[in-house]
Amino acid sequence: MLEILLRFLLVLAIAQIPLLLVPLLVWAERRVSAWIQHRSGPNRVGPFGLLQPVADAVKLLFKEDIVPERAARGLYVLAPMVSLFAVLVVWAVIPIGDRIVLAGHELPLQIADVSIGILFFLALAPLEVVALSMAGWGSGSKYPLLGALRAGAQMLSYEVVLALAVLAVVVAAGSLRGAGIVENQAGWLWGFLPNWNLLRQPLTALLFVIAMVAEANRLPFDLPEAEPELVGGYHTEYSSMKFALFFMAEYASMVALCGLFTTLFLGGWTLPWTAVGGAAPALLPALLGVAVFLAKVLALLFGFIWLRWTLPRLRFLDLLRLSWRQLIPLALVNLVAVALLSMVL
Amino acid sequence: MIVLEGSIPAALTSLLSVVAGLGAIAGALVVVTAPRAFRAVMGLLITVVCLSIEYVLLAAPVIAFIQILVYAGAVVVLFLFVVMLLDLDGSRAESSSRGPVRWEWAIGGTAAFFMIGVCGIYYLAKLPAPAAPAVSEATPDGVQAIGVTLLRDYLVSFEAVAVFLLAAAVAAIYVAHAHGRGEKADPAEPDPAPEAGAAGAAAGKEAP
Repeated sequence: MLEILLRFLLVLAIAQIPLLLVPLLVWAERRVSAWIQHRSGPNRVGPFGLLQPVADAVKLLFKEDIVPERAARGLYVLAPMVSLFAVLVVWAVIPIGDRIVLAGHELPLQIADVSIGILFFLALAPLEVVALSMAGWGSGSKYPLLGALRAGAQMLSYEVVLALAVLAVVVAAGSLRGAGIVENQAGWLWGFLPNWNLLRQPLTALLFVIAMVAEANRLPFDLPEAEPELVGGYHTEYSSMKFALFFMAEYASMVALCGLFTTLFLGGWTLPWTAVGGAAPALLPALLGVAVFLAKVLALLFGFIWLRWTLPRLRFLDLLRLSWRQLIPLALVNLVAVALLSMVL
Repeated sequence: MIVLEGSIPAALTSLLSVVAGLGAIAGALVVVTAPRAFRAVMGLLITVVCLSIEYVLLAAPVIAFIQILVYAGAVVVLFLFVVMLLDLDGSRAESSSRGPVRWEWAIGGTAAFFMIGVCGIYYLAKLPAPAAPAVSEATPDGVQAIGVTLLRDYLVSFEAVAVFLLAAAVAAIYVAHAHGRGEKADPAEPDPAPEAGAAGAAAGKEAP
């Protein structure tokens, strides 16, 4: 009974990671963009404008909830829910820390330590694009439809790159478990560098980052909602909390992808040159490991924001060409090379 | 997920299985009866998700998530893409769709009757279920077992299927393309692609 309770609390706690990071991220996006553009950014509501997302949420709650006349009602209402569901459920398989012992129960700091965790992530994350298609079609309007079309083509192209990059890591680690891949990155590279996949497979990491940005619909790949061209893309016709759900889903998908990147390439919860995340399941190092994991995710999220305010948007044909002509062949060659090398070594 | 039998009561498992099965059937009915292609694809999505729930309940999580990855993630998105590209106002699909005619009812009904009959006989006679290859029990995660089965034991048939699929795809594109060109005699026609795509989509929709 106690174990079930502990697990329940763990699920609640892990579910808070994306939900708490999203408002922080919205604030950080505006502050960092202002910093990059030599502006002040939001600085009125709360210290450093930290309460700005709260104010935004209150504003959105009081907006009128509109359902357009030509909308297909069921799809229109369901789309934002599916979208947020897809990006939240993948947290079930991201290990945020080592196992800890609480009141005699050993507890892995992960909702479900399943043997096919990475496959679970790859299978469920793309449901977001199904949600975007539902929104684009269900809105019964031109711009959302164009946005959904772009989303479909983009996701199909970059999902392949993402999966091939993940496969290279999986082949080298010999495991589809998130925690297994983290454990595989323990030890040292040439005696002094951390044995992270980022250093062992830099090309895979680069491919993954490019596909990850495309998956998250972020600049320079934010064609599905390019605001100067499509008003708002797939969420043009949405208002109030339905719009807020899409907004949250976009940021939550960034957080989830950064969590996956940390697991696959940055050694998860471990911190090299220290005992944090070591083999001993003591409470304090394990919790420090969670902090290390979160710090890595935050650093990656900063990179995401930096990228958005630095690079211009690609043309749509260039986007597809980049994937099919360059990234996918490169990813295939990379996968074969990694497979051969891990057979030899 | 592997430890399903231990952690979930059997009654709940069979209840979930029945619910998912009914969901799959309902989705399949939507696929063949929906007047608009977009709804049909949504029905396909429901069927795929319900089938993968069944796979999870049968302790075959790898198949379940590959099912979602391939069908929900790729095939359904591709279908949605084509449907959205083709009938932007929904008029074309609506005008071209019609209810099932008599012989279609006859074939579908016979097939359904046959399957229900087989299941009913198994259930009533309490015959043992067909022995499944012990894939999920052999190794803890099943990935290796499936890989070995596909790429060693059934390598030839697996690759043959891939070649057949490729040939079918090329043939479908050829047929659709010839059809599109035949309708439009004017070579200066700027965009024959929608026509070709329409035929291709129709062919693709009949396949499942």
